[in-house]
Amino acid sequence: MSLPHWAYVAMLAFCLAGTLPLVPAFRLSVLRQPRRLLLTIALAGTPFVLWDLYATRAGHWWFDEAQTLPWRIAGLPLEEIGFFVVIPLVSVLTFEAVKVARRRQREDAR
Amino acid sequence: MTYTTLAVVGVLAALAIDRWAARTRLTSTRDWWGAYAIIVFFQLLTNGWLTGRRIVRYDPGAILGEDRISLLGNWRILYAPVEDLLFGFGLVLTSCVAWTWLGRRSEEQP
Repeated sequence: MSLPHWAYVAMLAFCLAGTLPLVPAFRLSVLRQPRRLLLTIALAGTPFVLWDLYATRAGHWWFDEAQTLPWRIAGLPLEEIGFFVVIPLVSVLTFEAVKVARRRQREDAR
Repeated sequence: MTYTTLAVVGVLAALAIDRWAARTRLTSTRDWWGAYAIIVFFQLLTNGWLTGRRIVRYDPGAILGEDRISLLGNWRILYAPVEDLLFGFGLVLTSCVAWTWLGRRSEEQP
């Protein structure tokens, strides 16, 4: 596989590289709650995966085979499924980090 | 249905879940809007990568913009159709709502 095939993977890796350091930096407990995290991904990701399946079948959008890995699940690139795991995860990490940062700010102000 | 219609429905559904179904009311908190402000900045960057490089392409009949992939204008922001912003809002809000809702539930029944 040539380098361009990794273009979508690179974007997902960028998202994780930017948010996983929030776990030690803000001492987040998100990754220590795997059940809650997996359920969150399932609850939030599933309707959007179904939307994605509908949209790709209806031709609303499609993916460049030269810039995705060859594996497909129900016609979607593996990365696109990964997107619906990565985005809920990075959303929760950012949300929890902001909550900690704002709580610290309020405590400092006291 | 076009992507535009579905994207608006997606936003309204996410808001309805937050306000009335899960009653998490994250959209009334500064914590969530602070997190969303950070996330939407990175969404524009990463989505710009996906759409500017044409990793994902859109049917001009399903979006407000035309086929022309412009940096800004033509209903596109950093190459991405404006509908993607709505899609992202829905996905990020639903993820944080699910996370918060699951957290409250486990507190109620330890």
